Amino acid sequence: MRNSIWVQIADASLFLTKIFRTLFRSPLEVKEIINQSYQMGVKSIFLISFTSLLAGIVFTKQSQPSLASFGAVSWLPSLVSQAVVRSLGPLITGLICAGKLGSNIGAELGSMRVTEQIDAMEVSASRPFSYLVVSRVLATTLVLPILVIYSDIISLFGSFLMVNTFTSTSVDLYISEASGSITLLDVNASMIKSALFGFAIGCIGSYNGYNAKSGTTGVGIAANKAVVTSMMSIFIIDLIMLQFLNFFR
Amino acid sequence: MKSIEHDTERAVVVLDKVSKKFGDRVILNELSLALYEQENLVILGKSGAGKSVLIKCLVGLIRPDSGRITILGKDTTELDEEELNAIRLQIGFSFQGSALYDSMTIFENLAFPIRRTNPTIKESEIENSVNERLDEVGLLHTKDQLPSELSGGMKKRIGIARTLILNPKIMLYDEPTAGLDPETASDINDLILQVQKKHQTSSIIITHDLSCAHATGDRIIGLFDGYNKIEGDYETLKNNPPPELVSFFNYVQN
Repeated sequence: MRNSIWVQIADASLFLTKIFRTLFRSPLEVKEIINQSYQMGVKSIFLISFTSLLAGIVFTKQSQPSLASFGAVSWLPSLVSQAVVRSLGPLITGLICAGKLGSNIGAELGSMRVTEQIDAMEVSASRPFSYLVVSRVLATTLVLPILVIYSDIISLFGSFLMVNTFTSTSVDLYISEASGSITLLDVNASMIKSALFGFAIGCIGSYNGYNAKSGTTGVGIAANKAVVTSMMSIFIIDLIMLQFLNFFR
Repeated sequence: MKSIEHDTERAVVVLDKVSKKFGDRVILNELSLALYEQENLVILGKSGAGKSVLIKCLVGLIRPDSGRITILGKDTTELDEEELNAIRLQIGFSFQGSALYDSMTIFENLAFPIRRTNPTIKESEIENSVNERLDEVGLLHTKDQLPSELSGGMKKRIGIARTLILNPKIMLYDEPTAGLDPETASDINDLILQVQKKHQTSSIIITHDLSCAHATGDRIIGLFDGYNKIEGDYETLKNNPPPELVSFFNYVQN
């Protein structure tokens, strides 16, 4: 068992090295990256809209009584915007994408592996690693920050709807209050964090799918592993980024 | 161990004492064989005899533990990925399950290897090549369909058309008639012969189907216990079957 874990770590490290090597040595698969990014964005947009809107509404509603007891309801926009931009937005988007995109990549590549489609690409010198893996990893890395920005906007919109019902705050005032408390460091950190989430989801999904074994059962295992490991990695990256950012705050 | 001598000078593919183990299980045991120019070589053996491992070693999908594999004069066991890809362009591999890309149309399936290996080629040239190959296997009308809409026999033919799209010198067929009815299997055998005649290819045909071996093979190798125990043409083997092949011939006669 111990041996198998070390073998898996070594195998995953080799896979990661191959991603970087292919990224810098082979021409970029621009068409496929755009295609994958579009597909991933479209696939996730509904769920992200729904979850982000609800998260914004619920977070605002739950924070309101606590702030009201200190007579600080006017702080709601800045509290919510900081929470959304720094943590809630990237985390919600990361977890949704880990489930949706991670399982999708794991199952798609896994099914191609067990039906020998990847082998067919390899024997025709079609460079499947660059086409299938690197393009997906780049697509998730590029798409996640965009989805996080979108998720932040929807969450803040949900929060505004709630604030508006409590205090009749205007849109202009809400935007001014919310944006005033967000620093450039918050935005940059959020973008870097989401890009790292995307990179992790792409790598983990591709690794499990590309190395799927044992027929149709293997496809299910690959998809499952991709989701579970991606979600774990998102929390780990979040924690590391939090510690790292404390040096700058 | 008995070793069969080969004329390696004339050969396009030479395997020299190739061995492969998975765990403790020996799959290929110092296997040596040669494929000559424009020859159809059949490798016959029971399921699990190591036939598919052998064919995958040939294209570098599986690395052998020891031994040398020489294809068109180059030892492929010592090549890096780029050099191996250059050799792979000379080889067409027809998979047992056809391995068609299920998210692409038939046209895209055939166009894909061309686009990947020659990015500067014009779209009109791709279309001409694809149409020509599809016409050759009699399935031009399927070009806008998805693989899931085709029968098993049609998928096999499309798989063969796709392997031909890069004009390979060597064709490898992995169980070309497996899972097909006798009539469709016979059509596939005819197609293999037609490909050899038209494209002047040298072929290795991996099969456990004696009628496929009979119809397509110029020479037959019996793969048992991981190495080639028997070698000859169909008539020689049929008239004096070695113990390992008796069950194959009895099955056909019954």
